[in-house]
Amino acid sequence: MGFFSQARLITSRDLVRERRSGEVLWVTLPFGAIALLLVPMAIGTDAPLLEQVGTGLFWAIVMLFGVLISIRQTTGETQAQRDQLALTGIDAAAIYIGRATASFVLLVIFEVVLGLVTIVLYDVPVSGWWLVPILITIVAAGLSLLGTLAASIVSTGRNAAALVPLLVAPLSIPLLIGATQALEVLDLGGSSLAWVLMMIVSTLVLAVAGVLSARPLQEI
Amino acid sequence: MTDPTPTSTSTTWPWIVMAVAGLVTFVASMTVSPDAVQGQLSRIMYVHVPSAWLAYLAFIVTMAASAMYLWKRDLKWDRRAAASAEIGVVFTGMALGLGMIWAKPTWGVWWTWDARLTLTSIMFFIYLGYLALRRTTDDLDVRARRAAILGVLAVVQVPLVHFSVEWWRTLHQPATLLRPEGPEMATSMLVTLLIAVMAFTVMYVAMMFKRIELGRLEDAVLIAEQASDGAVAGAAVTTPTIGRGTA
Amino acid sequence: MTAAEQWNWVLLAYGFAYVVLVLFVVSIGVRISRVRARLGDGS
Repeated sequence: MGFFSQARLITSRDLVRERRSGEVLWVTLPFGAIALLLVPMAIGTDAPLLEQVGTGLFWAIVMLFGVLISIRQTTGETQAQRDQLALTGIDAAAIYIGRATASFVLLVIFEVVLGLVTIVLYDVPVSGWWLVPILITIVAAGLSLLGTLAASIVSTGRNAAALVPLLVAPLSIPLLIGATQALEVLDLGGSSLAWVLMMIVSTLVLAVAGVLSARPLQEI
Repeated sequence: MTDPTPTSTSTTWPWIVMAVAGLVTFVASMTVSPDAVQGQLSRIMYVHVPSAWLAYLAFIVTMAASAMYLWKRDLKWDRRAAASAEIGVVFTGMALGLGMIWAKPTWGVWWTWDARLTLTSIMFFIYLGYLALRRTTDDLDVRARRAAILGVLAVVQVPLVHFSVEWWRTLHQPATLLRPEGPEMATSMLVTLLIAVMAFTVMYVAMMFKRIELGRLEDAVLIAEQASDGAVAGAAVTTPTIGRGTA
Repeated sequence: MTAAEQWNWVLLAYGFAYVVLVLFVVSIGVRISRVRARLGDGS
């Protein structure tokens, strides 16, 4: 079985599990949405303020809460399950890519739905809409690669629940700054290309790091 | 791959070196003449800048030792990485705290979002994550491998973090970036600063010696504990009886 | 800001720095002796 067929197998397994459990749809997504609801209660509801913070807040919520998708229950495994998967002979890197792809799909859905919530609650301005799908895709790719790698590193260790987000948060900063600045620069009439390229580089770096670490992490 | 139990005797020179380094820094920074513009506040720089320097040095050492562990699979590299991370997080915290104590009387605010300060705080959290990861297991090899991979992951992403923060702040900050030491530094101040940086670096080396010694001892305890847990597999094997047993 | 006020801040800074350093160094020493004691009387 080729590398990508193996990865596809893992992706469909993960997505089937997610469809059965519905964790992202019924738990993670509502959690992100209620966060967007909570903030105006804390900082004030006047429209100009919310319009100003809306876009940035959206990306921050995506970074902080989106990682929960990479560590959802349906990816959680006991040591025995991990060993069994390793024994099937499926390439560790294929497992990694497969997992990350499943998280990617779920993250895109997560971002799109929360994006709509943000538009509604914060009345964010409309310039640069063509860029948003590009940013959503790159952020979903980078964050899923990073989150899956962090989850593999922590693996069956103690305190995993909050540790994976703690590890992801600082390293997701290039994606966060890139996404917010790309839109802001567009607002001011400049080109977002440099920011987008930086985000793509960051995502590629994460992909390479994840693929290279897959086998060493599987062996322990 | 685990090391045999160390039987080294305890060394005392690191403690002495640490004390002397601390004293030298203190004396140097108190005896140098104050800055013309900042007055006595300039003295804070002589502990703030060396702390920040060490925070970054320790970070690099942690990452380099992590890479060495992945290459050599020798636990001594893991201990060096861990020691440097623990020392590094202390100096990063000091750098941040001292930065705040210096900023409040100078600029009137505890915090500014300039690139350097922001990056130092990010590094603080990366350190914390690394140290937290080491606490997820008592298995020496698992712990070392996980930590080392995180170390190497950090090293490839941190330049991008650095770049994005720097770029972001240059877009949002006026061109005249405030420098703690002012536009120019008097020679006496520069010399004092260099003395302080060297003293702190020597202090770091001495701390590393002792912290690595601690790491070796703690690993020995873990190895001993794990060796004594559970029956030895061979004990379950007994000699077979031949002949008169029930079939 | 008067020189006296400045000295207060300098004192705060050095107090903070040296207390942190001393506590950290002492903690290493204490942990070493604890672990040596454990290894000393057998695991």
